[in-house]
Amino acid sequence: MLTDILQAIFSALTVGSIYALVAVGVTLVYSATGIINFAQGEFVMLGGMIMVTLYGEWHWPLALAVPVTIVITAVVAAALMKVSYRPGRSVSLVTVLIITIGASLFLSGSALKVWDGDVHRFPPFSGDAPVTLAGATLAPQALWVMGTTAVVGVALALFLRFTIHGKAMRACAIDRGAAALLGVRVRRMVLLSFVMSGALGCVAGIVITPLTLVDYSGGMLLAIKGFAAAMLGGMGNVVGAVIGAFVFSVLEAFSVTFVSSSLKELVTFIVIILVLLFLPRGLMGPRRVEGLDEEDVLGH
Amino acid sequence: MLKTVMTVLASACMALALASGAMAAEPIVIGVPVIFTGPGAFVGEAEKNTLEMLGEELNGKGGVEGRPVKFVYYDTEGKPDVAVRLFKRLIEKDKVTAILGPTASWEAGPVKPIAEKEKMPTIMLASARAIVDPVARWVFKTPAEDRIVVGRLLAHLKASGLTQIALASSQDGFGDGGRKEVLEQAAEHGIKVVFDERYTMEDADLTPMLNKIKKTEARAVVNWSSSRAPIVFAMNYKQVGLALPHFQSHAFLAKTFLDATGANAEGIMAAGQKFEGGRLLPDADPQKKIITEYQAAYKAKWGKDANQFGAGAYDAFKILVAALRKAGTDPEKLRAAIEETRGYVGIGGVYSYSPSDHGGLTRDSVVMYRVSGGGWQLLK
Repeated sequence: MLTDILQAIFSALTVGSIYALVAVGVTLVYSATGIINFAQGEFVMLGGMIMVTLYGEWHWPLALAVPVTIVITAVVAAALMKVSYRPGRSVSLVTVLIITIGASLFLSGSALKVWDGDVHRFPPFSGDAPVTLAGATLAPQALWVMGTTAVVGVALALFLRFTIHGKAMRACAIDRGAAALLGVRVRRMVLLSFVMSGALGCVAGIVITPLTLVDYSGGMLLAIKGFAAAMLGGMGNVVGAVIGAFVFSVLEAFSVTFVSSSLKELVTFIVIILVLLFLPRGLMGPRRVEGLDEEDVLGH
Repeated sequence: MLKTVMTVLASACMALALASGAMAAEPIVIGVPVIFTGPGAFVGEAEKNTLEMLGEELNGKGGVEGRPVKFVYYDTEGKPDVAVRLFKRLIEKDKVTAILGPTASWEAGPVKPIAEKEKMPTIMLASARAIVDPVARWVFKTPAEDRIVVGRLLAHLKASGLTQIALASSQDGFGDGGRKEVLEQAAEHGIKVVFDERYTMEDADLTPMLNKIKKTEARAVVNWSSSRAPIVFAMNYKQVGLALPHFQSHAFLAKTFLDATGANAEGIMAAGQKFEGGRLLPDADPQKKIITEYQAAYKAKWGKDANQFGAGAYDAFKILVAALRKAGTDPEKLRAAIEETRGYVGIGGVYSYSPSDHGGLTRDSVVMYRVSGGGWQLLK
């Protein structure tokens, strides 16, 4: 029994960290722009795919492969910002949403051309031998994922709360017009948020690929899980996104252990729907309207 | 005046010559509605590449009784409604003689009654059992269905004394199909399924489920899923320290799976068609030559490895051409000739169609594999 619970916790920590890395990227772009970026999962896919080539096939050292991968993905993210963010033009958020979905399809289609349709993996950073505790096991790569999530989560929360750029980013989320009047260079902040979320997604792809594998089509699924976690935690709140991701993964792991893996999704989504019914803005969301106004959603 | 007459005469002669030339070599048009876009694009690509290669070769040798074959390709996008529309278009507008396709089982279902109604000789490149059960007069297929593969696997389990099994499968068409066959056929092989759980293809971690198997009476584990799921399964299997014999579906046989799982795959067994293990087959195996030659020719022409889907198109085309040689293009005669195919040695197996069997394969087309030393080896 103890082993079962411990195994469920290990699994939840691993999977939760994966969801969290995606959710944080989704929430970051949202907090600066009000855009829900469905292409976030593609950054994860790109990170994994580029690493497959640089690290897995060309055997570059990690210290070189990782930064190069991050830079490439960040450039792609910046390009996405250029096409999807058009302030001043009467483009509704729904349109932007569709643009990000289109970008997602474009990126996965391009990846199919650049690479192929197969599933890929590169070796884990610290071998395959599992860590065992009271009969429960954990893959060493899972420790990398958890560590990365912890570092990224804390760094981002501090960045948004205490640095001038972080504060400017949050100001943009509350009211872009007012922020601009106060001297915040909105466009630059938006670009920064896209680049950061691109880099974040990429880092996620780099650390999770040895566990989850990567193929050109996997991005959208990850984006949906990340999006659900971000919603659950409260859109626009980094800490909330991490919490949402872990609530999600704990529910999944425990429903597999104590109910059945067939019913996992059912149990998980019933709980999530209940949470959102009673807390429409998520567990950690703002208690008043910010960023995404109702009329914005309706496109005026 | 004379000059004009001469010119007219000359051009008339030329036109006649051209017309008669065209008459002699009127092509036999074959419709190919397969998937060229979306996640299944690589499937259609392999099928088209294979047909282009075979068509070129055949036409170079004079075609069928002097008539070249010509393919009309359409992209079904993996969507049933598009497949239906294009299937009708091939019949009504392109006036094709026969159709090879569609590729996906979910497209094949809605297309089947149309082939039947329009009396169109059709060899489908999808594997679902429903394509040939119940038998439709005009519809055949080449890929092996799960029923045959599962049957071979269960026979192996029984012969190895592994009569209590844990079954894991993914909640999608592929996983559900395999699971259904295992559950249906287990009793007749004297096998008891003591654990039966399903997961989703995108699951990143399956350790809680695998951990539960440890506490069951299972003597072996069978997993039925495709894409990334079997790889995650295999890695988690080693991680939780499950020591039971480990069986995967034929989806695991692709080379990418071994590359991705590395040493974690050691000892895994799977039932599958002979295609993936062509070079491992004993020289006495009649299929060895055709499989290895196809793989080499494909690689040489397209610079990529051939896959099972292209192989399905290969067999369908060869069966069709043999029937065309025998019966010509009259639909009813052509259909009958396809149905009379007996003992065609192909890549997917040795095909023998009959009025009651339009799948053509038996369990003999399936062999057991085991991962050993980083590669697949045939199990005796």
